Amino acid sequence: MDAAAKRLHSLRSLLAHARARLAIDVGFVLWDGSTVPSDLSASAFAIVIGDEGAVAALVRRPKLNTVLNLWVSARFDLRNGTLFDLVAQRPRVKTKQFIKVLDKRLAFDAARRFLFVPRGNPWPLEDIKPDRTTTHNFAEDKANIHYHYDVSNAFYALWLDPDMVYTCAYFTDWNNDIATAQRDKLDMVCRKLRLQPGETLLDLGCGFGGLVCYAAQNYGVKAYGVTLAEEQARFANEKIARLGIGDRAKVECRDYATVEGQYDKVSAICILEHVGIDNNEIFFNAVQRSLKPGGLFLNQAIARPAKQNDRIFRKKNRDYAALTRYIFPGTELDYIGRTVSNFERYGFEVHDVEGWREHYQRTCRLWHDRLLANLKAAEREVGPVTVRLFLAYLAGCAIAFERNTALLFQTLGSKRRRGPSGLPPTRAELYRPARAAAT
Amino acid sequence: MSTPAAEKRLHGVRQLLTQAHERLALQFGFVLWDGSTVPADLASEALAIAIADEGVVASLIRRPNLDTLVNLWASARFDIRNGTFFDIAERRPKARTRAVLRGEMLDRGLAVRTALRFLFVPRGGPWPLEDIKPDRPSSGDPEENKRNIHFHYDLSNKFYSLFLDPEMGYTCGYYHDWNQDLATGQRNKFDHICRKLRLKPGETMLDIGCGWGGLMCHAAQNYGVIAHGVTLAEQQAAWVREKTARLGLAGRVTVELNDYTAVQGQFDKISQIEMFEHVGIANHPTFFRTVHRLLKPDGLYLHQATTRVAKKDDKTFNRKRPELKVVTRYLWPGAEFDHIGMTLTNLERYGFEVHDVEDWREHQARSFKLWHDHLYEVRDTAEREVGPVNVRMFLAWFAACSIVLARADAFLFQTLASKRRRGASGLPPTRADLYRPREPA
Repeated sequence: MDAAAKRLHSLRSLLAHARARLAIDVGFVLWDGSTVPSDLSASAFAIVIGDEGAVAALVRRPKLNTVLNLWVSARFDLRNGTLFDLVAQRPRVKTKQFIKVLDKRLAFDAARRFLFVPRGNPWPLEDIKPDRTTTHNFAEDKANIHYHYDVSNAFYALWLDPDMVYTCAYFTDWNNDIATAQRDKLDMVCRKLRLQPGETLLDLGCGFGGLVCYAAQNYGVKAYGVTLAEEQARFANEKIARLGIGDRAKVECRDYATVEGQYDKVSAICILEHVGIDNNEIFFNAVQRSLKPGGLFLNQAIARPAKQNDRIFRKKNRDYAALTRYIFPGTELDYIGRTVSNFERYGFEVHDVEGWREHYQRTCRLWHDRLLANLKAAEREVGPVTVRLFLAYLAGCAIAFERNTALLFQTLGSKRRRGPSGLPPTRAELYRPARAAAT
Repeated sequence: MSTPAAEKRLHGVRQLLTQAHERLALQFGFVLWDGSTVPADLASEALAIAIADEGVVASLIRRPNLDTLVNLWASARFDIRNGTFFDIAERRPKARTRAVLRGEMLDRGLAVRTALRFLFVPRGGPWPLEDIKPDRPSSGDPEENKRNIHFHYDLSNKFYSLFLDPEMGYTCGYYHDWNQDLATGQRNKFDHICRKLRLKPGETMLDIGCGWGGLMCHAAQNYGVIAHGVTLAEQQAAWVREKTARLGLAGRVTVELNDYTAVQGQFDKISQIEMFEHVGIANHPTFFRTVHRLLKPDGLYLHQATTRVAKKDDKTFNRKRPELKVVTRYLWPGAEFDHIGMTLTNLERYGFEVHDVEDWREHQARSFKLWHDHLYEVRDTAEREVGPVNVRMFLAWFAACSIVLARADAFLFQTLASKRRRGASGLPPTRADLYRPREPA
């Protein structure tokens, strides 16, 4: 047996041992076509390891970065299943105790044999620098937003809903599809803002203009949206022209802090994540300035659970670091307690906070599944690396929401002032059957 | 029999008040201790501030602070005729308080001369609140908690029943429209809490700081839960026992006279309705750990509490303003208010997931207003029960709370939380169920 055969053999023994010891129902397909267990059926769920460099890389640097590089280059792949199936297969043993449960001799033998094998290539994510938080520098923010949101409108159209809403949807029933849930979300945002015909709405971080168009069409408001993503602005303005609502809706490529004028209502749907914790003051002051007295402000943002103190909170764990390095540069997720404190600190009264964690879990899951269903078309549009990166990120986010390590909140505030806030005494109207909407 | 000096003092005050009345365009008058009025032709049914003796002016000049005013008010030496605090607040001069105090609106020479005349006039008496020591935040010690709670809530059940609703709900009501009365507001509140907690028949519920048991009885009667309450007020516990026996709820509603930290067992649902203000900020970790311990893994917790506005940092926030000091010294010993951001942060720090936060500021402003108005109507009966000082203190307190809430300087929030865990929280996807008409039980 030559060295390569010995390596294969030792790995196979280790994997067989691990399967038994951890009681996991996933098979392995190795680069020579052999399987663990050896009688693995062709339809069984399996991890595919593309070459021995993949194993060597993992032995030497058993980190998320390694796994991600192997995953996006498809050297680490799944057969007959998705990342969700893999997570569902998670052994009962905690990850940290993995090693302890395994036979040390077998593990050491396998590791030793792979230790000096080259890691192989490609290594597609290597050139992306570790992320740094934004300083609210226009060029930096623009570059960060461009990185993610200007990937390709055709790509996003493959797996988003027809309105291209790229934020948490709202499922009045967990079985609703993504298009229904995004419509319901847009409508709930309009309802929470108590939009009235003739009012002006400013949508900060308007994305592909879904809310701007929906509010203008269904609630008779004059809506103005800003985004830093050129592709999004282009898409939104084309849509506005197509719908013939140019008199009521407008989208511009502009920094939120430079918006002039005052609006009856302001929405910020998942832009705060891109603002950065240190720039919250700039953000909230900008909203305060843009809002008329008596106006309402709806903020929707992903949050993380608060930690014992801020120092611990700001330490990025590996999943979070990977997310900001490869997916959302410049992003910071705050905890809801601080967001709400900032509402009050910068002159808002908080009226209503609603947790939508499970809604975002479902949204990410549906996006993932839709992207997977359109895999080939997506790969033709943006290449396999980006598609696989998005699949991993969407699955990772769905799993984080499921595990309660990521949260989503909608927070409604008004400009704090003496006397009545102007809101009705109860929230019952949010849940009344829909008014006859003219779509 | 007045001396020429006393005559001059009276004249000075009258002049000063006349000037204030004109320049600030005050829409209420003054009645002085000799029966004279400002303006001189003040109608007998007009809204007025009555100053009973010259010691009132003297004490206010020497110690112009809230403590002085509260003592004068409690002893009725400083009084309101033909109206309430709300009427005065409504007719407040448009000028900023600070500008008035700086003397920009008044003749300074006159003010100084008048003040000097009163400098050595005795403050007079009575001074009914002097023996009450300045408050300190609760250390969390059960004995201290008990003393603090006893001070306010064990005053007299009869007194409270004079102005509370029939179920004795002594927390923020919930008004579906702003014309609903106190009793409806309280019933709506109980029901909304039961709905937010998604109470189901057979579930166990713990009400921390259960008061006179209104919520527990509503939950047991309408939602079929087994409710257990804890309070430190003996009279409240006695009331609950009597009420549950009367309603035939014995066994389904129980009450424990105990510190909340001493409660044992685990419950499906926990409510805490405005007991949290008595816990003290330093003891919030203990509080949330205790709730976490008492809640079953898939349970829900409803937190209702008064809060203040967040300041730029917590150090600034923790500095107590004079109004707050007075409230905690004379009415609510040991009480401290956090801000809603701090509540949410603590909920997360101590293992909860936050689902729903609802602002009831205007509901609480209305509740205090209604309590004030009810008590004002029955003030003579109430004075026979607990004495005029208590009644006047409660009136002032209710009015002040209502005004502070109406001005958005304080808030009331309901916060719904579950134990943070993987997977589904168990809550329905939307809050629509809170607003569905209820099927008849």
